[in-house]
Amino acid sequence: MYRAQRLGLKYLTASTVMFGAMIVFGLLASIYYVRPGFMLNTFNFSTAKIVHIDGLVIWLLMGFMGAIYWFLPQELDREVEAIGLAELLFWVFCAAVAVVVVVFIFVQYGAANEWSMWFINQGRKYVEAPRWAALGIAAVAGVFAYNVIATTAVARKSTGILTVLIADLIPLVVLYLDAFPEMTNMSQDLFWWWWLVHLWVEATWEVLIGCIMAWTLIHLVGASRRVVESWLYVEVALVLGTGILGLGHHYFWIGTPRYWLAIGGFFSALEPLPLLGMVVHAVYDAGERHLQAANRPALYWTLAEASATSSAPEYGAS
Amino acid sequence: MYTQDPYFWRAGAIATVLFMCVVLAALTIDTLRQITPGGARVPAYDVINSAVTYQYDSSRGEYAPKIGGEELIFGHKYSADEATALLARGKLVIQSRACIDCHTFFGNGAYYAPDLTRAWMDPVWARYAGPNRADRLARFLMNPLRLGSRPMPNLHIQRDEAEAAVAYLKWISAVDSNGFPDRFGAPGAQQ
Repeated sequence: MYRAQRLGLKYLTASTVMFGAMIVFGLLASIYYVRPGFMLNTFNFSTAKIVHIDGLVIWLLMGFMGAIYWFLPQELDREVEAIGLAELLFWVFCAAVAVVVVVFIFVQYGAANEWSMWFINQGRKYVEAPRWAALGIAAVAGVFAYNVIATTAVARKSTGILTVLIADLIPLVVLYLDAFPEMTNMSQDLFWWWWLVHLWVEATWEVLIGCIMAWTLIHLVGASRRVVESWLYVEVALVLGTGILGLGHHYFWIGTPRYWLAIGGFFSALEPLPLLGMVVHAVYDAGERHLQAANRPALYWTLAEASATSSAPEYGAS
Repeated sequence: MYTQDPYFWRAGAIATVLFMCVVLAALTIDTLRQITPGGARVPAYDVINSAVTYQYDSSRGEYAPKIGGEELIFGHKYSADEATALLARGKLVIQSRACIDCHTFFGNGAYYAPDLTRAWMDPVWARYAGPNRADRLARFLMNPLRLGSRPMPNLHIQRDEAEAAVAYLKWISAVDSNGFPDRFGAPGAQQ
C-alpha cells in the first residue's frame, strides 16, 4: 500500500468523525425548534447550526481528498509527490478544525472588530471559520492540488480522469479565496459568496464526484476506461453547462437584476440532468455485469450515493 | 464511430464550459454595475438620512422600496463618508454576531429567526418604548425582548454597535430585491 493510500484512509476516518459531529450538532439544533428557549444565552441555536453546517463542508472535503489520495497512486503506479508535506498538513488540518470547533463552542462570538474576524467567527454562512483557519484550509487545498499536479507531471502520464481532476482543482482552490473578503455591501457580498457556495457544490464538487465515481467504476466492475472517460466528459459538459448559469437561482432577491429570475430558473431546472445521468450510468453498468463486482457493498454504496446526490443536489444550501 | 472517441466528448465539454464562463463573465460585469451602492438597484449609503418605505408598485406588480424626504436617525445627518464608515461597522456587527446563522437576509441564512431585509420598517417596533424607531430598534438589539415564540439571545451588543447595525438595517431595507419579501408590512401579511 502506498503512503498516499494510508493518508487517504486517515482522511476517510477524519471525514467519518466530522460526519458524526455534523449529525450530533444537527440533532442538537433540532431541539431548539421544539424548545425555543433551550440553553438561551449559553449555547444559542446559531452556534449549533454553525458547527452542523461547517462540519458538512469539512467532512465532504476530507472525503473527497481521502478518495483521491487512495486512487491517485493506483492511477499513476507511483507514490504521490510531496507526500510527507501532505501527511503533515493532514494533522495541521485536523488540529485547526478542532481549535475552530472549540472556539465556536466556548467563545461563540466577539465584538464588531477585525480580531473577531481573524480569530473567532467571520459570520458568513458555511465559511464562518475565522480567517486564520480559512488561510489554513486554503494552504491544505493548495498542497493537495500540488500533490495531484506534480505527481501527474513526474509520472509523465495523463489520463482523461486526471485531466478533468486537475482542471477542476484549480477553480476549487481559487473559489475558496472568496472565504476571506469583508464587504459592506451585502448584495455584492452575497453575489460573490454564492460563487463559492454554489460553484463549489454544484460545479467543482460534482465534477470531483464524477472523477471519483469514474475510478470507482473502473476498479469495482472493470468498466472500460474509454467508456467511463467519455461519460465523464459528458458529465462535465452537463454539470458545468447547467451549473455555471444555474448560479442564477441564488440571484432572485439579493438586489441583483431581474434577468436572473429567467436565467436562474431555466438553468437550475436542467441541473438534475447530469446527476440523473450519473444514476442511469451507474445502474446500467451494475446491471450489465449482473452486480458482479470486486466489492459488492462498495458497488451498492456507489449506487446509493449517485441516487442520493441526484435527488438532493443542493439541500439546504440557500 | 466518432462518438465512441473520448476526445469528441472532451472537445464538447471544453466548448460548453468556455461558453458558459464567457456568458457568466458578461452578466457579472453588468450585475456588479447595477449593485454598486448608488447604482440602479442598491442605494448609496447616505440613504440612511432619508425616509424608506415599502410600497406596492402597480407598474411592476410587486412591492418595492421607496425613498422619501429627509428622515434622520439618532439625530444626526451623516455625510457620505460617515455613512460608509457607519455601515461598514454595522456589517461587522452582523458578521461578528453571526446574525445570518439564525436570521436571513434577502432570504439567505438559517430560517430560524425572521428575515431582516425589511426589518427596519417592521410595524412591530411601534409596540416598544422609545422616542423613535431607530432608538427602539437599538434598544431591542442591546436587550432583546421576546417577540415571538423564539427568544433572541443577548449578544452583548454595545450602544455604538447597535446604532451601526440599525443604520445598516435601514440601508438594506432600501435595496431593490425584486419584490422580496412580498407584502411586507401590509395589513394581514406575515412578517
